[in-house]
Amino acid sequence: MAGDQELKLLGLWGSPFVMRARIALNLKGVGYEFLEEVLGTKSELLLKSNPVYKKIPVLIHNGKPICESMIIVQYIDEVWATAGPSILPSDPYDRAIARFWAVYIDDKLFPSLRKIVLANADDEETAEAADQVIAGLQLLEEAFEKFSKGKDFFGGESVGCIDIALGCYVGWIKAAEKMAGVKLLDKEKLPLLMGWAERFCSADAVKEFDARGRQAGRARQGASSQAECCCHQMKVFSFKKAVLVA
Amino acid sequence: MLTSKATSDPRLPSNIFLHSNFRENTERMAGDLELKLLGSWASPFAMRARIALNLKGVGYELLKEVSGTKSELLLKSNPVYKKIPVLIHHGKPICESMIIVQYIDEVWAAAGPSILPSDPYERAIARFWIVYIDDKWFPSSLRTLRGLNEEAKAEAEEQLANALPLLEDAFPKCSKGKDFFGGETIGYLDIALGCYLGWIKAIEKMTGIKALDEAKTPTLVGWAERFCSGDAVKEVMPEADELIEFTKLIQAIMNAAPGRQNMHVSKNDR
Repeated sequence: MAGDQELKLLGLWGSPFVMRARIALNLKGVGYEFLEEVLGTKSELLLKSNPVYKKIPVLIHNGKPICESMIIVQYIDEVWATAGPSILPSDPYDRAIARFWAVYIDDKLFPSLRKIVLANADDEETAEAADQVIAGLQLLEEAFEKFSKGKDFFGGESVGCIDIALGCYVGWIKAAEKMAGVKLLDKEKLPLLMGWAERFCSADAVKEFDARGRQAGRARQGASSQAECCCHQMKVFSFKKAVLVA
Repeated sequence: MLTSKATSDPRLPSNIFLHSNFRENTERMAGDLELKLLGSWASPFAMRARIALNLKGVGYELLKEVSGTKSELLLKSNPVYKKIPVLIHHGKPICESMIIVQYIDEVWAAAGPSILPSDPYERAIARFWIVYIDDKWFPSSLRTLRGLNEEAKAEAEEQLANALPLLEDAFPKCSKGKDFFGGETIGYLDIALGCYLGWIKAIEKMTGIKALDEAKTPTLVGWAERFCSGDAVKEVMPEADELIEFTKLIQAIMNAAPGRQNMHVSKNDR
């Protein structure tokens, strides 16, 4: 992307929340400058732009900061409404449902995933967290059936709000499976989500993000799968106690 | 007002359920059966939806959930969280208070003032503060209310003391010199924060903690008075004394039946 000086995104490669913003920007075909924070530290710009939470991602548009990943996604959808597909549905009821599931995903799925991935829980807690993830994914399997209306994504023909909200966790889910030794995305129990996850990860707006990550020549080069990258990231994050922000 | 007859009734647990409707019902009952709101008079989250509907001048049927129970309609309409408020429009349920408010603003866009700001950046800022408020306020207020222990109260007091100056600071930027965060009329952030004012006053009375202090947050104090006097708010804002009575009754139930869940005072939604 061309590096539009008026649009900057503060983030960290590997953060699912930062990925949400980047996917949204990609969907809209909007250029931006990606300013990568150094793991374990917080830049002056970050502290100035997000003084309340001091967390990434932060989108800075013409000098004005926007914080919180799903708020950033909605902002991008509204500002670049005419560029690329709509991220939020156009019908008010569908929008309410999309927002509901985005809240649910962060409220219920994220804490459980985090527990497994950061491996800071005992076996029983990990098993319980895994059950919670599976229960949550089951609900989303049902939601997918209703809202995709037979199309490829929650958003229909193109990647939408719920796709972005959930899709950013696919890497974490795979990492959690490895770390907990439990199948979370089970093809037999969640066939629709399995298919969706593959399509999501191969979508242009998402694939490009991965490719750029590798091009940046980070230490993860050579990692053959997103899951491996995520496992590495999670261990590093865990060690540095950096918090991946909502 | 709760009568002494109710509080001294030996059948306190079941009687409470009968008296959950003790507050005078002044909500609009236009008989629009296509729009129902599942809620309760004491819930700040249900209040958000009611204020939004009032701002838009939309009639609806209020279906009051009884404290301590969950109606079949609630369980069917919000199977994921099983919590109020739920707006049911033409049979389709919408959950989560601020999602409901946005829905109302979008569906009745042409009626009444805009609730969300029209500018995308201002919308993002309003949404940000709402995330912050619901993250910081409700849990701490709840702990204080329940009076779990002195340490919890001190922590709650500190959280409020940290949160309020930020909002005091945000007000002039959002309001641009007007009466509300939303400008000339009550808006999205006003509703999100203002719904807590009844409980804040109740907590102040019960604990002696001064949450909204004229000396420390004068702008918010002024805003709170204007908000509570707004036409769309007046009829749905519970009195502090009523909430205190309600709290005592709930505590009595909880003491009588330890482990009873699903009281109103548990976190309802965002």
